[in-house]
Amino acid sequence: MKTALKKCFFILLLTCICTYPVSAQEEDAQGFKIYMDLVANDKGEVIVDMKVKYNALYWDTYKRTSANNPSIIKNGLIKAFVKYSLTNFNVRNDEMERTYYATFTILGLLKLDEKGKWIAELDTKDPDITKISETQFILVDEDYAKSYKVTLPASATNSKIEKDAFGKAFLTYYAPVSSSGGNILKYGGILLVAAGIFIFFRNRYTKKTAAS
Amino acid sequence: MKKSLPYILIVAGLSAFFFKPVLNLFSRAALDINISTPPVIMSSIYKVYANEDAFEGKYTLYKMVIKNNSAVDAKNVEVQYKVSNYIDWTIAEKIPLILSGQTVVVNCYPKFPDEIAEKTTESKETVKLLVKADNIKTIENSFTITVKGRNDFMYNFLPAEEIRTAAEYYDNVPLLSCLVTPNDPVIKYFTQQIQEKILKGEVAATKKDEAEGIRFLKGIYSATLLSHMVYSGTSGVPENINDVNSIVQNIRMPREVVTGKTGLCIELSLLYASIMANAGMDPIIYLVPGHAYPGFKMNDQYYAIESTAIGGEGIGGSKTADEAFQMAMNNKDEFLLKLKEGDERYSVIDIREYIKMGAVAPELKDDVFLRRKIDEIASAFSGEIPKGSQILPAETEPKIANPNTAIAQNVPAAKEKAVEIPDNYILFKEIVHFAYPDDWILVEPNKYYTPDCKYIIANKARSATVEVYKFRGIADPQKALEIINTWQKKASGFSLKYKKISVEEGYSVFKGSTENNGNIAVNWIAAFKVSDGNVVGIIANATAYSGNKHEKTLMTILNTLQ
Repeated sequence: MKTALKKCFFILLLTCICTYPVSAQEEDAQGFKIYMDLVANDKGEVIVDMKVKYNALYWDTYKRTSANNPSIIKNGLIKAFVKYSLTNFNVRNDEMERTYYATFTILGLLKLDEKGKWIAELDTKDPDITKISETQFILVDEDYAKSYKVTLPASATNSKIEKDAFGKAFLTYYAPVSSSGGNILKYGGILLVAAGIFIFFRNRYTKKTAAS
Repeated sequence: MKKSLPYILIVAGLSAFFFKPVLNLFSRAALDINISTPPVIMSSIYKVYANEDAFEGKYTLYKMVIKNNSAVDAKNVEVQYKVSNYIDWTIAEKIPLILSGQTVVVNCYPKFPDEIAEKTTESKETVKLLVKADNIKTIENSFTITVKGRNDFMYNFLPAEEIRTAAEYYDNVPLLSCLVTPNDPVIKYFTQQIQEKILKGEVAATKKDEAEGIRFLKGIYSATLLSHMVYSGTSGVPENINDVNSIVQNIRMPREVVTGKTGLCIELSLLYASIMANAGMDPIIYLVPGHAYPGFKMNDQYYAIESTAIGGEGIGGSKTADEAFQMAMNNKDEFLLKLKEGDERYSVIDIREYIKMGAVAPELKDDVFLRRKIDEIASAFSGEIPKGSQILPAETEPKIANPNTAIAQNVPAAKEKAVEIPDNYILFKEIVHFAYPDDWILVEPNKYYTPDCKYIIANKARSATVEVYKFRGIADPQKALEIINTWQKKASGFSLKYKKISVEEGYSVFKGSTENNGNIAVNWIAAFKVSDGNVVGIIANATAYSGNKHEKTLMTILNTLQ
């Protein structure tokens, strides 16, 4: 997922900044701020909520290159996340705040193994990732000191960063798998059984009381 | 009823609780698949396809998005594929479980056999697909894909209408590193010959000595000169994003360039890069619109040489190694400027960097016949380098800045058609040859000129100019003028009026003017001819307000045109 974040970042650079002379970039390396929330759901989909705030100079460039054609942002993101499938795009500009908001869903980023473990490739050996709770991680971009938030499903347990034999890093966690409607039936069934047992013992108690 | 209610509730509860597991046991899942494929498979990059980490998994045989739209989880899903003539049934991915409503993405990274590197012609192959699982009906699918020959290189895989920027157009440029073949036994052998017979030993990579690196670069150039290698003279790199015809190009492997003794700019650059990489240096290739030239980086310094300056007797002769080096170093400064301005058509291919990213060369077998050819070529190296030449080791001639004319002197002088150069005129020798006043200067084409305008030479007042054009893939001079006319109308609102007045020495000569609403701004004479499938030529012009003041000069220029 860290790669995903970095890719988003580079896409922004590519779509919005590359048209600037190098000198301009050097003078104003912090001409934008990126906030990202990545929320994983229990189907392994990752919903990305991205907010990019520019300074006046960068906003002008963004307006000139991409603002009137959100598909440019979309195509850039698809190219950056080439291994996955992206859907549910929405891009919105806030002129007054010189900010654009993008939301989209990444399919296929989280994989489920035979033991019920969800796995996300980080495509790096030393991720700057900090676990702040069982379901939340903060990623830090060392070059630009920007933080991004990753939220795992509420049912996630044992979440951690693991490495494979080749030193490749993965974010992993366990979460009970459930299909649509499956939980309703499961918990409804438990309730019905509990109700049945309750009524059974209540009837027996009432019967005993009546007999005595 | 009251008595049986608890039993009913318990049975109903247990049924609900076990409904899903039981349903999963006996029901079938249904998967929807969506497949996307690249337009072609390039056989020269078969090792990139095989490596799912190469370029972050960008190059696949297909990408399959599988969605479980049923209420039942799909278990032990297996995606298999087969490529006719190349790959038998192979498992692309095993997925233990696809939950109801879940989507998974399968990227196929095919391991083509090494023999594909020998493929020289294109073919259509059928890819068959199977999606199996414990509880689904097996899904069968297939598609046909073009497998290109090893020399076919596609600069991008995007549909023409999707290309918006130069970066998109040159999307596959990093893959050119796959055509750098330092481990090819034939190239290794050629490198040894250069090291032994031309350089008389070298320590460029081991010492990280820039002077040694430059000597090595010039040594390769000298080797190409002495082996009578010639520049093919046709386009090697697409020029701009409208250059649709150049998206697919035939690029020969470095071993073919050496033994065939001819190469395009990009082919020569790849040969240089292969030799330098084999010698342990850090080769790079500079890409500019319509051209490429090789170089290396060492100690954070970048060097370059104009490999095409070998020219050929038929195309105006050859330059010395020093001249070729100087030409490229001068171009390098302009290159860096364009790079800084953010012109995406200018880029550096850092060979080792791209190899690290997965752009690995094909396996090429040793070839006795080609080695013999190298022996024949290398026999021209012996005894031709005089002592004191700059190509000799630094101990013998340490100053790299001294012009090296010795090598060029050993190369037979190219036969040029004599051009009578009037006094105070100098010869222009790019694309076409002509003489122009020696106080005229080279100026940069701006947005009012089509990208086909390669050079502009003007007097100081800019009231008279010569524009040098090269229109790629056009075989009609009239069409070239139409292109200029369309461009002018868009860029400035001016249009061209002209008529053909003669045909001289292969050139179609047109007389015309550029005007707006009947107001003539410029009068001109254009001379265009068809050469190697391109239209080349000049437009000599003078501003209308300068009257016929420049007529004699322009006629002199046109009379010297070759």
